[in-house]
Amino acid sequence: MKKKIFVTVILLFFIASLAFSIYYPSRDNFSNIKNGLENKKYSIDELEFPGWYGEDGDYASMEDAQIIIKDVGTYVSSIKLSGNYTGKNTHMQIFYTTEQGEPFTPEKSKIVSWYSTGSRIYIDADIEAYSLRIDLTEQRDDELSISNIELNDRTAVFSINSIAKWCVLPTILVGIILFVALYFRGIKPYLDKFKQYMPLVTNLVSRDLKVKYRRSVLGFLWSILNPLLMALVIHTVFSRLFRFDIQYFATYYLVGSLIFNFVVECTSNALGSVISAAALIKKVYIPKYIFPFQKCVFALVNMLFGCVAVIVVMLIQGVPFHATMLLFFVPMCYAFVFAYGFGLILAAATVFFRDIQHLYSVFTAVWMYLTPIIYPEEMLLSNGLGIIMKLNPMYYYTHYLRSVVMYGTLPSLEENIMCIVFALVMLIAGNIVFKKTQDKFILHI
Amino acid sequence: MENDNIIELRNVFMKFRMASQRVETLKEFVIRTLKRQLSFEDFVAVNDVSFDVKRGEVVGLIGLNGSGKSTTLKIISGILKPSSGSVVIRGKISPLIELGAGFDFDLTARENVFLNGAVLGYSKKEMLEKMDEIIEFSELHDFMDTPIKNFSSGMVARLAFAIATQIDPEILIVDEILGVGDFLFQQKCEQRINKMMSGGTTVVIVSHSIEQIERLCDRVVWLDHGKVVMIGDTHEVCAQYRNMENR
Repeated sequence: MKKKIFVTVILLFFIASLAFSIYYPSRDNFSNIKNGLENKKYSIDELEFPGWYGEDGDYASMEDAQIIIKDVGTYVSSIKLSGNYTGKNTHMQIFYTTEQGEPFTPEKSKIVSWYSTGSRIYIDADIEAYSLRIDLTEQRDDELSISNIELNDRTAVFSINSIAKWCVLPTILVGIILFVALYFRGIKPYLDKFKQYMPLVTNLVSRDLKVKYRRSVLGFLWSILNPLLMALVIHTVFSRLFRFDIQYFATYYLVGSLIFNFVVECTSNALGSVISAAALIKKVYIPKYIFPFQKCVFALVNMLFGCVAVIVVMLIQGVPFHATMLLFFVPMCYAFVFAYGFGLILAAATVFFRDIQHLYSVFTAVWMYLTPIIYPEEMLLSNGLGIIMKLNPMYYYTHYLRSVVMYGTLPSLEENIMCIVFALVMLIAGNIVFKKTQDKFILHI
Repeated sequence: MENDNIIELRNVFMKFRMASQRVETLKEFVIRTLKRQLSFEDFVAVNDVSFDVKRGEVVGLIGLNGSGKSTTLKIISGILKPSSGSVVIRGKISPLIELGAGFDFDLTARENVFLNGAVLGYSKKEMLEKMDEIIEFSELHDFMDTPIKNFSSGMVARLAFAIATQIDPEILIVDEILGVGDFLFQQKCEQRINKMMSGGTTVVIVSHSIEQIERLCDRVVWLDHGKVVMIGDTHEVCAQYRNMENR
């Protein structure tokens, strides 16, 4: 009965929001109209085009070309460039001023995401500006001609982005809320049981810690030294051999790898947790999810040691400390929930198919290279791999932690929602898989 | 209405997949699926077993090897989920299926008390309250801070029995473990179980020692090839069981 309600509501909501997202196709129009943003159009005569080959704005090959828009004087949510465009790898940065006569400075600039339809380029700006400068940088074969520019446009354009934003995300969120509302009372006894077995979790975690550090002289110091040495190696290699334009590269790497390695440690430990607890499972009744959960808590403890290493490197490199640093635990919580859900699936699958552990180590290697950890985030964007980045949950968690720790910025609501959605979807999927299979574990271990 | 039955088994079946045909890897699974060799044969370990245990009763399970006694105990203690049928348990269980379940042999005896307590769902504080009694009963005063890998099997058994019985469970499940330790300790165990019984604890025992069953139990369930042969008064069932043995 509950299942029917759940499926029906979700389906109806999905259809309704899909219709909505097609009816209001571009996210820009809708929010622009709704927020009453001023719509402004500029012909090429009103713009300046420093650094362009050919005539102003008309058929230019793009290498370090700029477009300057004066007299903006409004909040700019989106920018539409109409004309002709070939290529997809352009790197765009917007500089903006807020007062008259103010020069353009790197402090007031942002790298923006954009998409093109061939005849138009849409840029997400979200800037309050007096004047704007758009820098288009170096991709050899990209060519662009511009006939006019429109700020906060209101014409409809169909896009994947708008479906994602107005249909897929809301459907998932409503699904989660509905799920909790419908099944919450069923969850209560589970929570009680979970509480009852908390001492077991702490016991197993402290046992794991003892086992991990008993035979080494430096003991717990290893957890701090290891990432420090790793950061040193990476710093040396990448500052000499491959140069990236990243300030505080060692910190950048360490913060990213901290949370990424945490998720990998959680999942790969959880993967074998049920099998290695075979002796216990065969003799006593214990809720089986305790084992993957305990491995995740263990990894969490290790990550907290790693945090010390991050602070050390930040001090050495002289990275400024921000108050937002205190929010470091938020992305960690998101990542924990995500990793636990994923760990449940892996643990259950490994009981039936032992070779999953080998496959998984290959998977994590690929995953690491697809996540911006040792290279800048823009590299994926400018290579047309932005879609992979947007679908990779680890991108959001690493980005979130870097924002609060290194850059002192607060991630937007949208980023938070993405983090939460990934975490909860994984958690629910993990629980369903684990619950369906856990009674058969004992026959296979 | 308060139900008098603390354990209820109704038409319980337990099927196992034959070990020889088990598919353990994804590779094997894919290959066998492609070759269409993916067939399974089931082995029925427990076949339509139903019985109740009343609060405070001591029930023995008897039968030859492979009659499904231990499987039934594991079903009662929640380790195994039956393939079909229903199991209702109305109390907290302390299983003594195999001694040393949940022991970590690298940890000391004291740490293992907490670990084992946690395995059974008790907090550190609760175990701390019972620590003295556990030490007293297991007679391990001088060895509490020794890693138990250095213990003899008798010492491990004493510790395990002490923990399982000192936490005051409502249901105690005992599988063939009264045969460990010297005869003095065996007597002590029996006394302890007797004391728990008079204190209202429900006990389910599996043993091959008919004398022990006769001494301790109120009722006996006789299993053979996973089926219930007879349920009833200890002496009646035991007498029948002996007859069969003599035949």
